[in-house]
Amino acid sequence: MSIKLRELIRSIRAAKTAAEERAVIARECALIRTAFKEDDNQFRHRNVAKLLFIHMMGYPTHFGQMECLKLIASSKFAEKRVGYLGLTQLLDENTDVLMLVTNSVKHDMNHENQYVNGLALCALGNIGSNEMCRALAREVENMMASPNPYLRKKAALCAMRIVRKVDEIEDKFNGKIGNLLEDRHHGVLLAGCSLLTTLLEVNPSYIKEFRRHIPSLVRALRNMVTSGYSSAAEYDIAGITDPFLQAKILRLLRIFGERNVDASDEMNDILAQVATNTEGTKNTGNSILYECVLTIMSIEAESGLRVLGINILGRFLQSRDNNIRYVALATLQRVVNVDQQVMQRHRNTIIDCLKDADISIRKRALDVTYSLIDETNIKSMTKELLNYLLVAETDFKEELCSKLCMAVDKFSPNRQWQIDTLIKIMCLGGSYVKEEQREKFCRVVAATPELHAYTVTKLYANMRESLSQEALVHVGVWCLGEFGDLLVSGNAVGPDDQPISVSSGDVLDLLYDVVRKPPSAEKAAATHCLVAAALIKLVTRCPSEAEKIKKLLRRFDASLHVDLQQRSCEFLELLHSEWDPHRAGILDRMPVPEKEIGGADSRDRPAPVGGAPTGGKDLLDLNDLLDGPAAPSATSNVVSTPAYPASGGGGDLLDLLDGGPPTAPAPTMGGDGLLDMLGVPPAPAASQDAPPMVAFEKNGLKITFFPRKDADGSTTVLAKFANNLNVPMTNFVFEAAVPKYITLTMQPATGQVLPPQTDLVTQTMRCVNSTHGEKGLLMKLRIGYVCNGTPVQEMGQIGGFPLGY
Amino acid sequence: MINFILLISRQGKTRLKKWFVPCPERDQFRTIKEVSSLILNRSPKVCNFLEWRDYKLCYKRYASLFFIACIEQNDNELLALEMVHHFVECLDRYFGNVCELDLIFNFHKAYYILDEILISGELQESSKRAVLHHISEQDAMMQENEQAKRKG
Repeated sequence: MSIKLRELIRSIRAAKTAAEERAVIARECALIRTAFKEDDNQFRHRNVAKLLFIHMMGYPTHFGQMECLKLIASSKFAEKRVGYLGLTQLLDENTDVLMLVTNSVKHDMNHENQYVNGLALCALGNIGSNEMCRALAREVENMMASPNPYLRKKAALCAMRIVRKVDEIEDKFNGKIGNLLEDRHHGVLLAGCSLLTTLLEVNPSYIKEFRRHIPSLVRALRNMVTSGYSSAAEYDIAGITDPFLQAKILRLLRIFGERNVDASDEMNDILAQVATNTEGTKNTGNSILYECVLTIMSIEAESGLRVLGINILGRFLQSRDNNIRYVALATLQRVVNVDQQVMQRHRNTIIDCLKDADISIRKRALDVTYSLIDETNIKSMTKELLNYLLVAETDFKEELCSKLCMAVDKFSPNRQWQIDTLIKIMCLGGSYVKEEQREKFCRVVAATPELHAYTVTKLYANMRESLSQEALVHVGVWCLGEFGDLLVSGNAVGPDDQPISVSSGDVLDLLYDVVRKPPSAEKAAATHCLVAAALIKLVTRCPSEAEKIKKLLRRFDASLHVDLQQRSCEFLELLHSEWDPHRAGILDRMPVPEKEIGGADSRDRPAPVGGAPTGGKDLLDLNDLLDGPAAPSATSNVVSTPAYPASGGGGDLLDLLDGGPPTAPAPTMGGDGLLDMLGVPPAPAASQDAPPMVAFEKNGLKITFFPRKDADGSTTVLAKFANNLNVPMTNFVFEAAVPKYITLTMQPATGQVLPPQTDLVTQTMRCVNSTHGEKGLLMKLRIGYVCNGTPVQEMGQIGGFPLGY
Repeated sequence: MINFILLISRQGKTRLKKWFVPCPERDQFRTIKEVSSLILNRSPKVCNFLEWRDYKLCYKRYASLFFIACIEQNDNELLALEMVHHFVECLDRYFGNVCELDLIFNFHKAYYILDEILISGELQESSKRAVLHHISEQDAMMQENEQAKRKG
């Protein structure tokens, strides 16, 4: 015996626990399923109704789909009604079963009873699939001309769906739209406007054709706005006649008036009338005013009308109602391009909204604020936004930081202010400041030599206060490395213009603190890498601390982080005495990258000034080294790969290394690019059937080159590796790098293990010298191997190849 | 256009849900959970609009029920609130001082009323009188059916 819907609902609500409820529902579902199987006609619609309730609670009810179809096919209205409800709830346009309904729906659309027609139209309008729409378009078109407004309006909305869903037949209904717009019945007018709006959104080329309806729309709107309208009472909401239709017409007028002066003229009066006569006390009135303002701002309105619109916006902004303020901010966002002065007038109100308790309003205010920033108000706006940064939620912080940095870069009046503000942002923004912004900051600093001392002092002071902000620490460490000498030179001036004295020891202590307690535990390795780079640079700038630096670097040479270990090993290698003559050059200041820095830069000076000694471009310009490794050359510029992969020789260097043997450990030259190392000293190894040359000899490893000049002008070098020890050398890796004007291709070595007292392993290299012997062939070598369990890294270089190679 | 309408009780139970865009059941329930938790946790003093994914949620609390409408980015939020209110007023006139219990036991009637107000996310009738007239006519037809069944 099937229970009534009411009983089921009562028993479900009476269930005290979730388990009990599940039991009730399971029992009922079983009964319903049995009833369906037995094809019970009498209670089918009641069972489907119960199923719908169960469905709304979240339980699976797919077995009811076919029953809905059966109900729809029934002749009784009550059953049809439930059937259609089930259809729209349990199925959607992507369900395959839907196709089976098409015939029933078609049949119902031709039914004599308007409500049956209505049910069918509703179903089509809500979940009609592409195929169904195509099949039933003809019926819908006919119904749009029906004498019954009830059917006309529903058919019009079905047509709207068809236009949205099916591409080819969008113009099918164009003929009928005109009639709809002239209709007196509000429901039909509403539907007609919706249909037209959708059509014009789908295909804007029709706008011209339909502009001729503007007068009738204006007339309809005027009727509603002036008092004495006949059916005012029926459509009255809060004193306004049919706000929905008014809003729809306003929206349609917006589409017509956009970018068209004539159309905008036609609607000028009515817009003014709506704007002035509509009461703004309740939400209803405000929704109309909102729509009106949006329209005024989008069309080619005359100035009087625009002023009217802006005044309304201003009123909205001052309103105490949260909804209205939110809507005002949203509109401001849209019209920000139109009228800048207006925006500036309301600047203070907008900034106050930043501090509002409501998160939606805060978010909107933030968006508007970004668009408001320009050269004149950058300083005050930045102050406000920095205040906001302090209290912003985490998901806002990142966006706020990046937008603020962009604005600062674009509009800052001078360098010093720019650097100051960026430092402030980093102090407050911590880890939310993105990598690009940090790098940009470094770039800016590098390009402003007169502010080097100032910047480094300021950063030092800030870091002394707190080491918790990651961006600040990273950038500070880099600056300390680059400009540490300016800091300890004794000329440093503190924030209050008092000379402060910072000793090298202080700087080292600070770096030590950073190492001990990095701002972010997970990314400690990245921080340590930067510290390592800074430390090695400080060797030349603060020579008294060389021992301490060495000790600190040694901490990392066994680090599990490959990048860090490699760096520290290479840097420690650099501290060996044989590098003394070259060290200063290697660790010199980073050259200014060519890339434009923007904003203040382009205003202050025509081109970025390279404050640092040059030559960084040609990373491997080793002409000076041609005379042999012993020649000191203070300006030899195997300089740092600049911080950004975009510029300079860094890319070249990496390319060359990648040309090396595939077994080479990938020289991960700093994921964050602030690497300051030369990497591999290239060893010249061009020869041409020349006598064999000893390229490298140390610690029992001897490498001999057998160069040979080929017919096509390229050079092939055979390298032989001899192991003179009594222990094997394993994991042997040989890399070479050459200057820019040479192309090097290396074959893999014949082996990676050098057995003791042998010289069996060889490797072949091919070089093409693009200067055809004008500049000699040079090569820098890097050798790595494991001997007696300890990894060894060696560097060497070889020049002195015969000329012409 | 309105993408979906939800009626949620203060405890998070769904009293009515209607989607005007295709959305698989699983996603529907996920959305309901997400949206209800967002809205039920809002303070009563804040505005009635919330930005969610690519849409805007306009909601209003009537007694113990939250009426939520999800609209497109370029739609008029204040108007959406008005449409919701229009729906509530129709329900109120039909049931006479409607309360949540009415909607629980007569959810199918609430759906029928909604079908007279919105099709495919757009408003079809702005006159409450007309809506109620049509609903009562259809109710009468159901009664005739019942009588005919009992007789025959």
